[in-house]
Amino acid sequence: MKVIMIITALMLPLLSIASTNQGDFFSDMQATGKYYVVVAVLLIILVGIFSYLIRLDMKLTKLEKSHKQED
Amino acid sequence: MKKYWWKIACMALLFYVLLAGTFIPLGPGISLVHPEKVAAGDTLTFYIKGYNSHFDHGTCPPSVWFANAGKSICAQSVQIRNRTELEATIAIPADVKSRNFNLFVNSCYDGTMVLNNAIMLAGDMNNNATPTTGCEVTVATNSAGFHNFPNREILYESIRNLFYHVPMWWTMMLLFTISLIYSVGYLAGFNLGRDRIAGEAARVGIVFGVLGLLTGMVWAKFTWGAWWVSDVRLNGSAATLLAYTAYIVLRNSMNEEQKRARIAAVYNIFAYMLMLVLIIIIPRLTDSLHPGSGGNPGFSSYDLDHNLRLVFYPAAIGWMLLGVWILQIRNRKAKLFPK
Repeated sequence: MKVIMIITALMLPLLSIASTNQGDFFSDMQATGKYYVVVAVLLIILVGIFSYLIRLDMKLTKLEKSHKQED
Repeated sequence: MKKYWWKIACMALLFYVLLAGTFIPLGPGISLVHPEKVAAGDTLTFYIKGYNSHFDHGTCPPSVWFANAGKSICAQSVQIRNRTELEATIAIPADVKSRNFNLFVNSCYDGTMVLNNAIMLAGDMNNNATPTTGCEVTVATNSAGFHNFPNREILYESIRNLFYHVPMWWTMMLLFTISLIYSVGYLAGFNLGRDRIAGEAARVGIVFGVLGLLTGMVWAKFTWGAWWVSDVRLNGSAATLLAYTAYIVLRNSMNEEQKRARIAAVYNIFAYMLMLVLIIIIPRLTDSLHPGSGGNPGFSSYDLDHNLRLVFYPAAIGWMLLGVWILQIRNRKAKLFPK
């Protein structure tokens, strides 16, 4: 529950940016020289690698716990 | 601490890439001209918007002209509004030979900027009009753009994706190569430790391949206009990822360790050859939207300028080190907790 609240809090500034965007998002992106494409690409990579690492971390924690029980 | 040097190098390189890749500006260019449609014989005042340009800098006022079928049509007067905006009054002659006009702005500070097919001719061409002669123009080299990334049409700022999208594929290929080497190594001595590394390297390689695919799709949407096009390079990379996913499925389907290792190692050699053919050989033989096809390597002197290289090579090394780092962690986990 806490995690969801933190994520929502982090999303709020994004929502305000989205709501102030009056024009078509795609035409705005052309006007800024397509810089948002770079931001989107970086976000994909960071979210991808971090979620992969978190999954790996969780798996390891689980393995360590079951390993301790065996001892 | 001595063992950590390459991990520190990985972090330093990626920090450098993020900073340099974000803050080095794009070179000057023309982003917009208005009106976009003209008729032969019109005299119009064009509004011209520059991108990262410096129209009010430099020792001489910028000169503006259209190129139409090899002939130059110069502006009668140029008014500078500010750093990125100017207005030029240009008379379109009656005897234009082509429908497309390329716009040139030559500034002492920014060099010569071009916008291809900037305006179009509306209405008919008059073939009987009295011929006029073009004006004399001078083209300058881009001095202010010396420390900038190239400003290319269609790409614009998204040229920075070169530091993130392309190294994903390089990292994937490095990890698949490591996987192949350990598979061959396994077949040479039937050492299960080598088979373990081969399997883990393929898994991490797939992660980077999927990231390369997703980032490529976003980039394609905003440059080519579609998330996916039926292109040899794109379909080849997707097929490669499927082949390696099949490798993982094949591994998971067998319980007997030595048997699994042997069959997986042989399949891995096949999958690697498939990858070489699909994403290195075939795209170079056929035409494709993607750079690095139709006989051209991806990185010719034309495609990749000096400033891009200064960031791209550190980026490639940094991301590859990150891939190896993740592989090392996975391998240590698999070593401690065999399934």
